[in-house]
Amino acid sequence: MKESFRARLKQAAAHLGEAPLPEPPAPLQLSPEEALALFARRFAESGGSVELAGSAKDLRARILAHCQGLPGVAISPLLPARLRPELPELPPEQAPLAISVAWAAVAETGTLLLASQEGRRLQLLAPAHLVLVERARVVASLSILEEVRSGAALGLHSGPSRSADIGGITVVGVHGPGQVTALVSSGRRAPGKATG
Amino acid sequence: MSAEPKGYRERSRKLLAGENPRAAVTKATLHHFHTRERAYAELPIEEWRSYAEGVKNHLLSHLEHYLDQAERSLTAHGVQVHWAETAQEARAELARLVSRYQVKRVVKAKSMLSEELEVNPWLESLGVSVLESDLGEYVVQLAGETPSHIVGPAFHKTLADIQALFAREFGTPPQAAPDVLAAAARSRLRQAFLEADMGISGANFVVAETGTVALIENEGNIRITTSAPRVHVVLVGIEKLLPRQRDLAPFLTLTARAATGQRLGNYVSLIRGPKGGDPDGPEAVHLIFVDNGRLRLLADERSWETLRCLRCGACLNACPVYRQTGGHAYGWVYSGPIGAVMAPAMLGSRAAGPLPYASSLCGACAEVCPVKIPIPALLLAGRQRAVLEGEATALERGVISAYGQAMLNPALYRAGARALRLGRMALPWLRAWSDGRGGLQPSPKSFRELWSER
Repeated sequence: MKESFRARLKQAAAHLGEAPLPEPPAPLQLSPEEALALFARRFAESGGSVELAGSAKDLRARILAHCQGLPGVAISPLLPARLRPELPELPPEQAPLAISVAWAAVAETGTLLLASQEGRRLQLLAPAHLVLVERARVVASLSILEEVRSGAALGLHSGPSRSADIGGITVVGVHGPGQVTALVSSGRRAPGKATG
Repeated sequence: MSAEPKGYRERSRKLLAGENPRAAVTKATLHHFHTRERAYAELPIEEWRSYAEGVKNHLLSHLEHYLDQAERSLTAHGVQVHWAETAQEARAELARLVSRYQVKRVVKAKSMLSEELEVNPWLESLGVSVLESDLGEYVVQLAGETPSHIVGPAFHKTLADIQALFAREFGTPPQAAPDVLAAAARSRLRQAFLEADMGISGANFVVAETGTVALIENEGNIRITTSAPRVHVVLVGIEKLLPRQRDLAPFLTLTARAATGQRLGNYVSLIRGPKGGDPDGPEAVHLIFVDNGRLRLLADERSWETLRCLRCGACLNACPVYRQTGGHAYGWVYSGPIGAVMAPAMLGSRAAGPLPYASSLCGACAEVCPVKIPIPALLLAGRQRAVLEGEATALERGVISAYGQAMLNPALYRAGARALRLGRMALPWLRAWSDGRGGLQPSPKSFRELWSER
């Protein structure tokens, strides 16, 4: 801080009394099943879709179903080899679909947490976005942000890109993906590792 | 945008004469008013508002400590921190960055502070092209206007206005649907994102403890602006800090609920520094802490409370006066109730003009404010300041001085009271009152007369 600034700041704040720092409201607590159900409901309410994979095999089948008929896809480096579709990899700005792996998901706000280490263009530039999330990483409260201590950037995605700036009418896919699907794994094995 | 609140009366008269802004603004603000109500109802909202008020009060009373802490945390992950005491200093810092990184093209995410600092004309004067990437802000830029609302810059524009504007700009059909218009803007802006050298954003919060910059939005333009260009510049007011990482979650959701009635914006970016080992992201992140009158607000024994403001726009949506004209009448970057209370302390009473009077003091703004800014009390303080600084209107001075005389002189007081009882129907504002209600029926005798007859 510049010294001239500091001197003015001290003078300006001199009249303010001591104010204590309050604790945040208690975070929402839910069982894992309740958290998953609430996440699915809230994510859908803000325009996303949710799919639940019954098994590892089903998870792979669902990924392939999303890739059906596409010339190529953009793929997160965090996606395990066993789940990768056998399609040409395209840069996110050319791909019709991007596949990401979430660090976690939050039920109360219906939010996917996406770490920048898989690439931010991947999360933003394709018209459709498929995001894998491990069932055990679906948490109740946004207070999970307290645990985020590393990484250059974390994106919180709670639905498709949308705007109501044109006459108050909602439009999706304005800048980012118009379609976003959260694919929740069966949870026995992590789909991949990422840190916030 | 230059600060010209003095012309408020003329501008509002002009805006009220036209139908469009009024209808469009009323529709948009009432929609957001109701979605906010629903979103507040899901929480023990009074507890949340008191917590948020408390955190901001604590922050403001320890601002030096938290600014120092924020500077250390940001610097630790490679963010370069700058300080600007005035708009000129902030623009000079931007000019240095433009030249250092040889910037030709800038994309911007919506930032009220950048409007306050008049960043766009400044960058254009340096030969840099600037594109606003928020759809509403882009509409406003194409129309050669300024934002009329903190959250919805184009709230004053109807679909037909935007259809006509885009037909001219992009050759879209005159009756094009909103998604066709959005697609036209998307393709122009997508190109701009990929070619830009620098992205400029504001910040909803900077967490002092962890040096995290938080940005809330719905379109994804902020995420792309802060990710695709090789340099990211954050413009942030010194009051935008949060003390702890654990304050982030409640403040993010409270802001979204207050602004648009969402539990969270569809996109939130939490930025900690340049890309490091990531596949993409900016190579350099600069953050400019801006004063530009905020310390003057902090020093003010009444108006310092406005520094709690989260810029959610809830008070604009709740205000029956704002709703009639939209933000352009106010002639300043911050409009509506919050603008009317910030203006006298930041700009002085002379420049703030009639803004503290642009309110019926109904109190709706204070009821919805997520950080409990006592706006009606501050509007009164602004009026008081105008009187003390000799800026009251001749009419107000005359009425108050006549009232003072009458209250000091019993004969004059009695005569005045009798005149009011007899002449009530001659008073035009009482006629306006009685148009929708039963007529006023004052007692034929005054209290004093009744008392003496006892």
